[in-house]
Formats: sequence, structure tokens, C-alpha cells
Amino acid sequence: MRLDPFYPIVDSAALVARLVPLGVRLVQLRIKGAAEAGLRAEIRKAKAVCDCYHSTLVVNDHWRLAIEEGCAVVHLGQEDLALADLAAIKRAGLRFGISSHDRAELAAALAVAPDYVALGPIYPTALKPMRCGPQGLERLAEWKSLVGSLPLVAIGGLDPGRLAGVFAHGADSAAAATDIVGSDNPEARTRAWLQATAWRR
Amino acid sequence: MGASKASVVTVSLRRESPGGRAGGQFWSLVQGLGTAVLPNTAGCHTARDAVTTAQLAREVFGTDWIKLEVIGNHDTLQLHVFELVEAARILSGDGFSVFPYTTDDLVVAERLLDAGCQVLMPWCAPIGSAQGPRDMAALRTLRSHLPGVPLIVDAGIGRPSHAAAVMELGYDAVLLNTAVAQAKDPVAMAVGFAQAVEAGRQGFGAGLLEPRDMAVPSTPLIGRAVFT
Amino acid sequence: MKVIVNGEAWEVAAASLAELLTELDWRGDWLATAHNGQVVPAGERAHCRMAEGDRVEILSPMKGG
Repeated sequence: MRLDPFYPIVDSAALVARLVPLGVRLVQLRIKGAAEAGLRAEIRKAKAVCDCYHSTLVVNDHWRLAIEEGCAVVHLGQEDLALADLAAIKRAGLRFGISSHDRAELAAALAVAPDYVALGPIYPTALKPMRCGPQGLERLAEWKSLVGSLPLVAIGGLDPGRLAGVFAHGADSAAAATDIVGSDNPEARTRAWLQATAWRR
Repeated sequence: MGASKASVVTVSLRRESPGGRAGGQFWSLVQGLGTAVLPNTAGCHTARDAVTTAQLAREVFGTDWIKLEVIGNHDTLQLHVFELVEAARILSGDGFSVFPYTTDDLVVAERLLDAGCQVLMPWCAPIGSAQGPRDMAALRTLRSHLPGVPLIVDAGIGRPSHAAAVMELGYDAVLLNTAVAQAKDPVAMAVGFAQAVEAGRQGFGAGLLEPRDMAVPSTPLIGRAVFT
Repeated sequence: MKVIVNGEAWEVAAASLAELLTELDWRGDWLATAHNGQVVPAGERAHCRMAEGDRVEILSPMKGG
């Protein structure tokens, strides 16, 4: 699976609709703690936008809804992985990525043959409470040596200024969460990221 | 028409004179083209007039399709959004497939969809002005917020590059008249437009590059020779 | 009786809309008619009674964007 170097993670279909038309080719919809009816509507709307713009939508965690709504890719955190029916995901033809924070989690991820692996947090992050401290760029290089040609996503505390280091240390794609969602001008941040990753596209 | 590869042609209704044959001749000509016909309600200023005109058009042209146009101001030809939505509601309820000529306002667009329209035709600039898209951001917003709705830009297109630009936004089609009709060589212009629409559509589907502030070399730097 | 057809006054003897079209020489199956603002399909013109002061519109296909 070839990943675009810019991988924004957003929390609503509305944001997908605002950002994808700017040239975003890969986007993750990550919504936690919502009821199924609302989630389905959000996934459906986000997918409609991505289909229209020929972008790839990744659904975080809600693999059953992703299958039902015809989505192509899901992302599973380690906790999600424990509860996911990977056989069903594979049978439905979906691709999937998995998060990792240490060697044990990486091994668990690689054991199920994902389409990509993520490592985080590279830098301190506000996205969610982390069990471990920042991984740093050296860890990224270590991960790349272990995953080989499998696409590696770097996540956690990233902004355009940190991308040169991230790509130099082996990341294939850089995830943007707080830098975009937490901004009061997500369009401007998205444009900055698109520019900063242009040379890797 | 052939040169443009257009798949739909608009027509309208006007008063016929006694013993007149012009209408019949025109209609035979249009029928001979073999393209889908889209009658319009051009000239209507109220929902009531537009509804009556649509019903008359259905009688003559034998189609449920209607391009709904309700003008609010004769000088600027700006449309009357309230009468438009009302007419759309009535006509959709009466079995018409309504193609509303509308503004680039998302709220009006949503009201038209609620009223039963399944297609929208937003302007990009005033009718016949040939200015091309005046507000790309608004057109982009409409497209991204209504991803499943066929969107056809109607009005304001002046040259093939305008049509290509609109198709590059992901619009489904363009509707135009003046840019071809008033060209020095309408057939040649129609060919130009056919090519532009195809080019824009191809570009959109292939994954467009977004503009960048800084230069980005397209030749890899690795392995280049060093001469000094 | 006096009726208004396409905005002009005419003196006619026709009792129905169908007769009016014949009387004033409007012919062709590409015409659309309205009587006092109401659409009258071709098949119903014979049953549409004319009265003094009625307004009739007789339209036919024309080009337009």
C-alpha cells in the first residue's frame, strides 16, 4: 500500500469536507465515544467526500461500520486490535494499519501482516494521554530497520518544521493531528503541510 | 452541437404567430440531433409563471426534465432564490426532474435538494458575462459539501479555460450558450470547449498538484555529476 | 367575442380553444396552449370553452440557454 506523505487525522466529516478539496489524498477519520447512528452518518459523509475527490479515507477503530459502509482502509490502535476481527476485515478486502509504541507492540502488529505500521509519539503530543514518553527520531530509524519495506507512519507532535527529520529517519508518511485539528485555521495548516510534503509525493 | 459533443441541449418556449412554422422547424431540427432535451423557464419572474411554463414545456417537448430559472431583477438577471425554491418544490411534487439554475450559496443549494431537486446548476458569473468563475472558493465549497450531487456550472463561462477550471474542481458538467453562440467561429469554439471539458475532467480524476510557494526540483538530486 | 391571444386582442367566433386555433390559423402539433393561466393539453382543447375577455397563450419551441 502506498501512503501519501501527508496523513491528517481529523474528528469530523465536516473537517474532511473542508480539507480534502485542498489536495489531501489520505485522511483518517478518528471519532471516539460516539453512538453508532451518528458514527455511521459521519463515516458515510466522509467517504462520499473522499470518493468524490479520489482520496483515501481511513476509518479509525470502527471496522464493522467501515466494512458496512464500503470503506477501504481501517486503522487500529493496540487496544482496538485486541477486539477486532481481523479475519472479517481481511475477508471484506479492507487494508489496515496498526499503531505501535514499543517492540512488543510492533511484534504483535507485524504478526498479523498489516498494510502499514505507525510509531508514536515521536514528539510530545496533546492528542491523547500517552503511556510512554516521546519516542524520538532514533526510534523511528530503529522501526524502519525492523519493518523493512512495509510503510511506516510517524505520529505525535508533528508540524511542518519537524518533517525533514522525520523523513530522513525512515518515515514514509507523517501524521498530523493536533497541529491541524487544534488550529483555528485548519485550512491554512493543511496547505502548509501539503507544501512541506510536496517533495515526497 | 456535434462539435461540442454535448449530451443535453436546452430549449425554450415563446409566443408563436398565426400560421407560423418557425417553431415546428426548430423543433424538428432539435429532434434530429438525437440529444436529450432540457426545456427552460427563461423569462419567468415568479414561481407561478415558472410552474405554468414548465407544464407547457412538458406538453410540447415530451420530457419531465426542466431547467428552472426564475429571475428576480431584469437588469442584473440575478435569480429570485425564494421563488426558485418554491417552484422547485411544486414541480418536483408534480413529477418533474428539476435542474435549478442557482447561485453558489450552500444554504440555497440545500433548500433546493430538500425541495426535491437531484441536480444543481450553480452559476460561476452572471449570464452572458463571459467572466468565468468569480468565486472558486464558493464553487469548491459547494462541491465538497454535496459530494453525491451532480453539479453543473451554468452561466458565466466565457472561454474553454473556464470550463476546464470548473471541471478541475470536480464539477460534473458545464452548460453554456453565449461563449459558443457569439464566438467568431462557433463550431471551432464548440470543439475547443469539448476538449477543455475533457481535459479538466481527466485532470481532476488523475489527482491534481496543488500550487506551491517554493520550487521543487523534478529531477532527482542523487547521483548528479560534480564537475569541479 | 373579444379575447386576448399572445397579448393581442382578437374578435373571434370560436366556442372552444381548439376552434380558436383553427379560426386564427395556429396549426401544428408543436404548440402549447394556456387559457387564463392554466395549461390546456392538446387533447383537452376541444372541451375548453371560450368566454369574453379570456387570455390565451400559444407557444412553440425556440432556442434558449
